[in-house]
Amino acid sequence: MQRFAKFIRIAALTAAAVLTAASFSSTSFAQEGKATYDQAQVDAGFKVFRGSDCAGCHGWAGNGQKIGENPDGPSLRQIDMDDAVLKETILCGRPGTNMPSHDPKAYTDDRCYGMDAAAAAGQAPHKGKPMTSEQADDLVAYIQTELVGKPDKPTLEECQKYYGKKPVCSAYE
Amino acid sequence: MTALQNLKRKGAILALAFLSTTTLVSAAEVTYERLLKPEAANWLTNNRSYDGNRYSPLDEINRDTVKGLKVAFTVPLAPSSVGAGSFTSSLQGTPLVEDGIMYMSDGWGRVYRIDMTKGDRGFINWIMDPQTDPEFATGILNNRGVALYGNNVYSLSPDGAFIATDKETGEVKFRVETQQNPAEYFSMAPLAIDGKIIIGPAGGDGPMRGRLEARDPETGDLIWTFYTVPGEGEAGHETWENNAWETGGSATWVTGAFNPDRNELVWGIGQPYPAYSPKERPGDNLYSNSTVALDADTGKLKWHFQYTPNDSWDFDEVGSQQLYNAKVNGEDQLVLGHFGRNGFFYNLDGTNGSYINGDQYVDRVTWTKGLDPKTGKPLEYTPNGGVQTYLPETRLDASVATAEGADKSYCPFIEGGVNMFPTTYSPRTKLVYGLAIQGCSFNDAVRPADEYLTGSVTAVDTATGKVAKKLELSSAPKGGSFSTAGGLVFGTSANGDFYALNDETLERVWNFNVGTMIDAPPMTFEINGKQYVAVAVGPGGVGMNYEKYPARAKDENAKSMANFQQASMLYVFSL
Repeated sequence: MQRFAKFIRIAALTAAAVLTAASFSSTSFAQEGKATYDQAQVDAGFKVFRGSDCAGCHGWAGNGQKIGENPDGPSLRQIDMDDAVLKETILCGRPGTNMPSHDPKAYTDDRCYGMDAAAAAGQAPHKGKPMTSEQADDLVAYIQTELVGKPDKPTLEECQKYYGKKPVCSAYE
Repeated sequence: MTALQNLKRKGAILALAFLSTTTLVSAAEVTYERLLKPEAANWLTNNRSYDGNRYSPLDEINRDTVKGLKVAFTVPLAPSSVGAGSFTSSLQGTPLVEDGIMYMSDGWGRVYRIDMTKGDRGFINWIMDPQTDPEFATGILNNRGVALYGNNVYSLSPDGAFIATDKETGEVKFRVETQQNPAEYFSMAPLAIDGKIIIGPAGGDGPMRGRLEARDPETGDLIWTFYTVPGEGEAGHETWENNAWETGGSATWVTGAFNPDRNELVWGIGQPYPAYSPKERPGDNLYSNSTVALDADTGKLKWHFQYTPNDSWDFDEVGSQQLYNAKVNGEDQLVLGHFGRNGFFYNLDGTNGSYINGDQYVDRVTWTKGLDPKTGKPLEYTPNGGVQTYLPETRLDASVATAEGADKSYCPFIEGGVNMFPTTYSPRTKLVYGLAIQGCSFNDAVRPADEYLTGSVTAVDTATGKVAKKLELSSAPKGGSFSTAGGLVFGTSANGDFYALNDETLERVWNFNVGTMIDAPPMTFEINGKQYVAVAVGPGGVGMNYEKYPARAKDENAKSMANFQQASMLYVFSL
């Protein structure tokens, strides 16, 4: 019953606006859940962001400006989620949407929203690039520190941080 | 004749023989003349011929013999993998074949030279890997093929490097970076014409400005640029209000046609950006969703036709542009035929783009009541700029995949109709064949259970522009098609079927199932007098994870088809 209730909650959440979906974590939680991270972890998280499959849907700048025919991902600069919810979203994806899961064991037991394979049947997200729990922590540190709260329009500096010397950042000059 | 004289003569003959061998090597250069008149045995350019028709004069495999068509050999290519986007790299390219040597690309823009001259196996001689950093591979990892010209193979990497590779050795001769904006990625098969290689970026679903470029085959230097979104002072600039032109999308990601008699490139242009928000870009948004004809020497626009002005449904018109002669109202005329992704087939005047005739070729169209028989524009179209209304209940302000757009649905499906999957014209039947997706776009949360993605092979009469015949398919026909002098049309489908049809009745006369979705167009060639048919099997792109074509088929096995796996395999068939 409890699992069913959770299932309903997830289904309701995923039916909600992708852009506003992040609002389900309450502000107070977000305030409590946000921590300050050491720079090494933020840097490690940037590597995870670039090396995983985030940029296609959320944009290289994490501003929701997807690239190509990728699904529309929300702007990570506008989310307000506490660390635990953000981490679960990364590892478990969002059932019924195109946000993939990155924990290779997602939906094999009840680790994701309490849903096993049977409970998730028909709406389990597709599998993204595999990620460890530690990598997900690093990614959370990067998103919370470098993306959340920043303006959606990226800066030249941010572009150069992502692309290095590639001659593609003139669009932001 | 003395013995010495005789020996001298023989020596001269031997020397001549050497000379002619040398000549042969240079004769095997892919010259403009060869591209103009490709040998029957070869497939030297993306659409086989400049007219874009994908028709082969080979006929060993024909209606009588095709039942004996079997796998001759297979060649696995590098395994697929994920870049910085959400999709697995796919095989979506049309292989080229010259004298038993195949040149093809994979989703990472790797180029393979495969020696098939033994006829019963393919050896990979070399792989040119552009070594694209996965972190920069932010777009869809599709690559639609390479171009042959001179002694080089020309290709694009996913992040926009334009590369010339020696076709014998695999050595990179030059590499020029052409990406101008992080939103751009690259998937087009370049087109070689006389002294120029034509390329352009994909990525019009993001904030970029589309273009076509002509590049020097020797150096990669830029010769001209045609921006598909006109800049300040250019005609058509006024069709982008709100300064939307700066990031108007309208990308070019599929190889166009070339009319050598008129020295015109005839190219299909993608949808405007932002795709689902026409209110942000009032106006017709030229040259999005258009066919443009450019002077090949200068890149200047000569004429155009726009299919869906001020689009809101992602109806790119990058797909096949086919030039053929048809008897229109009793008179032979050069016609440009195009299956619109918007659900309509169009015959345009091949010299000026004016509308001749056309027909709805998908079962359901809900965004317009039809085409104006005189202009070919949607009936509701108003030519005074601003935001079009069309049929308002289908008109989007946001993608149906998002919550804001979830109350809307429309037909045809977001990918059409016919997407970029190549269509074919047969001069035997005077029919043009398109692989059409049949279905509609819904938000997943509200999609009715009885809404499937099926398909059809649709044959259109080139004289009347009307649908002449239709074969229903249980799943969406991804991949592409070609036709032959053997009276056959070959095609592919998301359920893994690779099939041959009778080109008059559309009866399926041969079928081979590869056990996963096919994304790439098939093609044909000949080695030592024997005909072969090839198709690359490597599903990826938007088909497997995102749109889930196999799982959404109206097929008793659709549930199992949801379990289709990635593959990266070249299949070659012969009798």
